[in-house]
Amino acid sequence: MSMERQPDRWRRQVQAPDGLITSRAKSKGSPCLQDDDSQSGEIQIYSGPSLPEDILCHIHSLMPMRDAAQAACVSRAFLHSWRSHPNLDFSKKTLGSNKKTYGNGEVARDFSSKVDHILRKHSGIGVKKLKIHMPEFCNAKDSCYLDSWLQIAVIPGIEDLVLALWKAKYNFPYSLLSNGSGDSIRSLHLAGCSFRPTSELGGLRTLTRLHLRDVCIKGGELGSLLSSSLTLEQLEIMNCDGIVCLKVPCLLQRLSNLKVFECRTLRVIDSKAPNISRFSFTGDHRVKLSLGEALQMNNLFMCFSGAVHYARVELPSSMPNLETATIYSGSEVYS
Amino acid sequence: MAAADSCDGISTSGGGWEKTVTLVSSDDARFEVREAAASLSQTVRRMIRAGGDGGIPLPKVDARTLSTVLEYCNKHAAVPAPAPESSSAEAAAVDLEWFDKELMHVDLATLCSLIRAADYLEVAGLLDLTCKTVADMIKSKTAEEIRQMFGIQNDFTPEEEEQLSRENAGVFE
Repeated sequence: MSMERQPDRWRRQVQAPDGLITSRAKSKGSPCLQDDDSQSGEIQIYSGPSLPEDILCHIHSLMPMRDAAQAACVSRAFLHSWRSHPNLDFSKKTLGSNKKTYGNGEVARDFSSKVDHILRKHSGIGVKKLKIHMPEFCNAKDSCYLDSWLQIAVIPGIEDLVLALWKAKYNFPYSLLSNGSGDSIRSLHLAGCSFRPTSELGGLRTLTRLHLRDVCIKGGELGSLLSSSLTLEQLEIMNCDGIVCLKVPCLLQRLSNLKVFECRTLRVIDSKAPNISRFSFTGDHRVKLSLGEALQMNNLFMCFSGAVHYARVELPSSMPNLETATIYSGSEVYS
Repeated sequence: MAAADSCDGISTSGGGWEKTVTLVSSDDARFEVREAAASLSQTVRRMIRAGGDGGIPLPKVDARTLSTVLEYCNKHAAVPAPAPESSSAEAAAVDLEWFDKELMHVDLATLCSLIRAADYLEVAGLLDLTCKTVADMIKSKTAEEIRQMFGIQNDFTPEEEEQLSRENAGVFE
């Protein structure tokens, strides 16, 4: 984890006459008590540990969302810190929307109204991680909230974005990432929505992990995103119908981990990325696999009808560094 | 970089020669430490560059706290950067994690002294570690307990406090 406090806030301390460190931000209304100024006429008796206000707020920002929300009642400074909490994780579990007495529709409505309440009060500043795991049975109205939620929280500086829906007819607004947040995002995980990246809006220059599950995306759209996301290290695609040909360009020098699971329309995987060390594939035997030189391949997992034949014919020559190969194949006959 | 006067000498370490610097705590204790370790503190690094006589004075850190800070710096500066994903890298990471965990087995007052020192000395890794430890320590506490732990005044009006509690109860319970 890297320090998130800004460098210009580091030197907000002054040396008090008796050597104690106090916060310059301190004022009459300061919620933090490190007051050793006996000349103020109001002597505070407190012998416990003290910390500058900006450090206390930083500590508060490191607490899990639910605890940080509860601690917002400590003082105005903590409330301010909560309004810019960097780690927003919305799920039935974190919001307690999974009461047994709720019907399915109620769970979705409860979840949406809680997320909406928190995000509308959020300053929109400082979000590093946004995770939204929508509950099942969300209707179109619940999905309508999504645009406004993403607009509040997907801002420059965001590093980790998870949006997991249940096969909703929701089109992830790729244009959101062209506001500068596309220059900070490192991990993008989408599930159950449509994703239409376009080359006009540029790539994601700092992206290292891309996970797509149950996502509607075409091979060309994914290809244009990959060819401009040169820092990618992990790519995982699961149950994504719409991709016929998955082309991984050789420009992806850092890509080390490629996983492709159960994409029904897929017919070709053509990877030219030179440094893949882990490859996992499950799916249709008609998929034509081409992994290029694959000199760094260390761990291989394949499960499809015909996988044994593929392994016998292809592996010895093209993967000199292979250490582990796990091959599953159904009803394959060979001699 | 010109050799600074505060670089007290050259000492042996594992058969090799390493430059050391002397750091002086607020209570005048002197610590001779490898320059590579001391330089994990950006504050000290700047002072080495500026040069000076008789050691580097650190008037905001007492000997007991400085000793722990330097324990952290010595351990973390000793770790070379191994090839990623190699087994030695994994072992080194586990060892460092264990060391950090052990170092954080202290009371709240000591932790707060370490946080103030890490902030003043600008040792980013130690500041992260100590702040995270305190965050874990207070995460299940009530607002009143947190106020008492750090001597924080409740500056809300009773009406504001009640409204906030109501909001939280509506969202998180």
